[in-house]
Order: sequence, then C-alpha cells, then structure tokens
Amino acid sequence: MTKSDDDLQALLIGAVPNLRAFANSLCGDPTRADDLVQDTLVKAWSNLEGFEKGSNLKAWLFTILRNTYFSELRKRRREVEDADGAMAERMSVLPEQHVHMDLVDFKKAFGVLSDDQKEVLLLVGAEGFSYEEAAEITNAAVGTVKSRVNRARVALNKALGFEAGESFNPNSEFVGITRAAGRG
Amino acid sequence: MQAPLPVELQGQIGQRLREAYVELINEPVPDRFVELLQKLKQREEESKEDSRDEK
Repeated sequence: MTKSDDDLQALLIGAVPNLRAFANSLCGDPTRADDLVQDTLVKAWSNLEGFEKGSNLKAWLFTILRNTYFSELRKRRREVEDADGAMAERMSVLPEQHVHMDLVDFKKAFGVLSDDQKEVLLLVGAEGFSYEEAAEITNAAVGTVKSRVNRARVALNKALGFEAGESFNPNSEFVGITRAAGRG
Repeated sequence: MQAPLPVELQGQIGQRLREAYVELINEPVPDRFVELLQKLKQREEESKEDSRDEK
C-alpha cells in the first residue's frame, strides 16, 4: 500500500467514524476527540512504513490513537500532579449512581470507569475486537484485558443498578466485612 | 480475580454499550478529515515532483 493509493485514502476515511466514536467515548470531550483523530491520521500517514501489509489497518489506527491519548494524559498529569493531587484523590471516589436504563444514564455510568477499563470495554464490547487484538492494541497481556473487561462490566452493572440474579450480589463483599466485624 | 457477571447481565450491558457507540459512529464526519487526507496526499505528490526535478 502506498501513499498515492486511492484505496488507502478510502480506508483511512472509512475508519474515521469509528476512531471518532472511540476517542469521544474515551476522553468524553468531542473537540479533543477530533483533535486526537486528526493527530492519529497524521501519525498514521507519516509512519505508513511501520504498518505491516496485510495486517489489520483498523487495529493499527486504534493503537496509534490510544497511545496518543495516554501519552498526552501522562503529560497533563505530570503538569498538574503537584497542584491538585488531593483533588484527584477526591475525584477517584466514585459517586453513588442510581438505576434507570436509558442511554443518558448509561453514558454517565460509563464515565465512572477508569481509562483502562473504558478502552478495553470499547475495543471488545463496542468495536468487536477479539481479546487477543485488544491485548495487542493496548500492549497488555490477554489475561489482563479479560480481567479489565470483567471489572468494567461489574462496575457498570453496579453504577446502572441492574437487577442481578441470585448468583450476583454487589454488596456481598460489604456484608462479609460487617459480619466478620460483628463476630470479632 | 473478580467473579464474572452472569451472562444475562453481560448481554444487557453489551447492548447498551453498542447502542451508545453506534449513535456516535453515525454522527456525520466533519469535512476537516477529508480535507486533511487530501492535503497530506497532495503534499506527498508535490514532494515527489520536487525530488524528480532535482535529479
């Protein structure tokens, strides 16, 4: 595939709606999401030699996007770390979320996930990448991806207040602690 | 490792996620992206012509 290839143009443009959806879901800011997509396209274009012919172009683009996002995030965090470390600590305490199953609530619930959880859930659950592909994109072990997806689902479920069957009680750990305390 | 959610709940969450995601995918793509790729390609072709001129 060469840069003058019309197919390449079409493939890159074809990937834009998915890249935007992924970026938007990850950072929650449409303007920043579009900047991320733009950076991704420029990087992809200038590193086209690094793309292995015959491999998954979409997975490659997603890799570039998430790497760009996380390196920016690390940079920003370093810049503000000293200023509001205490703030970040307070923010990490998740707000109590309640019930209802419409999309607005879903999006709100999604916002309580960590970035690590968001990205794997999006890749596997929304984009339909395999666990192996998601592992490659995020540069993590397959087992790590599986457990992140699982934790993301559990956290989402809790935030959405979905009714669970007998086999799942989100408060079981808490009950366990109070019982143990009562006995002691 | 945390016990996985029951399949039924996984399905509900998966469905919500895809609905929200498809909504985003269906948003129209701003012109800036098509323009950007055209510009990149154009620049590439120009630089090729330049290097040819130098020879």
